[in-house]
Amino acid sequence: MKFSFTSSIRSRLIASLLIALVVILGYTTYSSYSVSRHEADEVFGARLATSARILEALVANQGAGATVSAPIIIKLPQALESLPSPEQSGLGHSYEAKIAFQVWHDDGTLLARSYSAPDKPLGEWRQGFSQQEVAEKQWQVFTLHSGETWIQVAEQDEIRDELTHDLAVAVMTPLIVGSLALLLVANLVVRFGLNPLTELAEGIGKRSPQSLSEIRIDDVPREMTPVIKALNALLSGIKEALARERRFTDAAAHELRTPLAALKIHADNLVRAETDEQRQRSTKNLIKGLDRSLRLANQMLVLSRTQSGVDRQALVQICLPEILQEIIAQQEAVFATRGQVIEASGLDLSEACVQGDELKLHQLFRNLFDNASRYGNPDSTIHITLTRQAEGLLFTIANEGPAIPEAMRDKVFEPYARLAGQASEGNGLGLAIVKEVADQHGAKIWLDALPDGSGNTVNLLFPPI
Amino acid sequence: MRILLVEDDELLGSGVSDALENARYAHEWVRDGKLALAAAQQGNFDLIILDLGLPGMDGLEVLRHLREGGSQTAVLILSARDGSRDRVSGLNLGADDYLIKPFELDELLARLNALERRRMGVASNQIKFGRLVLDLASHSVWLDGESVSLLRREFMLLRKLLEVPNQILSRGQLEAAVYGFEGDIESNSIDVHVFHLRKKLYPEIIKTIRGVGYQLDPALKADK
Repeated sequence: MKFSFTSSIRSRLIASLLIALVVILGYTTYSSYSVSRHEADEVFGARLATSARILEALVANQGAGATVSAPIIIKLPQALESLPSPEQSGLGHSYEAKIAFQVWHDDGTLLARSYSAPDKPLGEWRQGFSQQEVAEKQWQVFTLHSGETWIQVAEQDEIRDELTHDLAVAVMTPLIVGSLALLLVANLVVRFGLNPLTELAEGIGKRSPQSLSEIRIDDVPREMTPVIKALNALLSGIKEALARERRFTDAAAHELRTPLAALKIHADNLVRAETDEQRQRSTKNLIKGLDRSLRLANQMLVLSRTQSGVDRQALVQICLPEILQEIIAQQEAVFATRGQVIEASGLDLSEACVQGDELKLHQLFRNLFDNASRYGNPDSTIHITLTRQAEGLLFTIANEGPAIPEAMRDKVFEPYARLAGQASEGNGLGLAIVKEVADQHGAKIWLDALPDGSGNTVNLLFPPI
Repeated sequence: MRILLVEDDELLGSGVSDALENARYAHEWVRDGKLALAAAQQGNFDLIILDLGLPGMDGLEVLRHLREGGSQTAVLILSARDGSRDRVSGLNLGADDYLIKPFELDELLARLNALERRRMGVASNQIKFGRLVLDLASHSVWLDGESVSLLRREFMLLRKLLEVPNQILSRGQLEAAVYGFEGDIESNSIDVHVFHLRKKLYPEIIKTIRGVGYQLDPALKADK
């Protein structure tokens, strides 16, 4: 599995903490080693020098005058070599073997040395501290010249190394153990801290696809509320979309099946008719039903072609007064059959032109006129206005009739939308086509009720070119 | 059996209405949900054919109000919504049957028949009643095994009387069962139908209870 820092907040936190700890511990280890070593060097260096001075005081002056055939060798008790822990016997310390000294005469004769020291000089004939390799071991050497003697005191590096190491380990052990414990605790703390997130995830995971109710904000930590809010916005969006989809399928099923059911039953009735009068009535209704199905099929095709844009024409300059006058001329006679008259204003507006698809705009205005008349009271007036506004060209068409309730005003533009109590023979596609065409022309369309609720106004706003 | 037809679509409604007329069911047709609820609560109907997508009040709402009000009237839902969601909620709300548009007329009639039989507590379409056999599906009547030809209204009257053999039915109840809400009924039309039924069958089959109405001969026993 590829480890990714973003895959889990917990891994991310723990891994970051682990890396930080390793770096800090690494640095602490290094510095405690170097500090210990530095201190050890100073302490041991001083002791080495002190030892040399003691030897000088005790030995050097007497030794210088003496003639010796063989150097004096100072031996250590055997027990120091053989006992496992000579420190407890009170005889000395096992480290004594690692400390050596030599006393040389200026003429190069070895006057005295410790048992652990070699026969050759431990270092160069130069006063001060130096580091030498003798018999494959590193020695720290202090050389002192006094009268006619050279005194060299040396100490194996191992002692300092061991001390440094022991000191560092003593410092680092609790630190490392503490860090491991911290890591463990951090893991638990992180897990505990992320509990609300886990609970939220479980809560969401248990939901069925149908439960789109909002997630309650009051029982989640403050840091998570932006996420929940975004999620809730998404949920309510989905809910609204689902509701619209359901309204659409219900309405479409109703609009498609009802005329077919009517056709079917009238055909059945025709077959079973017992009298000529029944036969005639069923036949008449059959034809009515066929007309209606035909109209529905046509409207469906217009809507789907408009939506898909397959019959999109090149945009041309269309002047609204012209197209409106043309439609009024066509529709006036139809309106007259219902006793309705058209009152128009603003049709002399100059330069009231838009870029558009001529056929589609025709369809749009025809549908609006048709709707205004169909759902308007008989013997009433249909008012049309065309005005220039700051936002563009505004066309309105108002009828007198039952006002559409506010809650329904947006829904009437959805396909197959039907209003409660709507008895007229619409199929709910007219305004959907209007909306689609308006959208394609970048025009805004909305519905208003007349101030006294005695009718409806459709507003259509074309933005300036 | 009196049927309340609730359908907002003019064309489909007229088709169902014609079909019910042909099948000798007295019925009333309303086109709006709220009117349907009012009619159902007051109109003493035996069965409601209910569309769901109604203006005024959704069909399911009408049904819910009816059942909450304790109405036992059989309800057959007639709907374009074929989702199991609607079907289940319809049946859960207490609908007796569910038919999806478009439907076969035969199927609608068969289901009406089934609901009618259930209401009358009989298992088959043929109801035996003494020397009389009445077929609910074919609308035919036999007396002592011989077919008797009845007019539409005569059949509807006889069927109504058979529904409640031990009850006395007033002239008004019988008129409602035979004519629905048609206004132009001759004042003595029920008496005329009774007269013809007695002649075509036998005189004692229908008893006249003076000042109250008519009753099927209580000496006869239904043979269900």
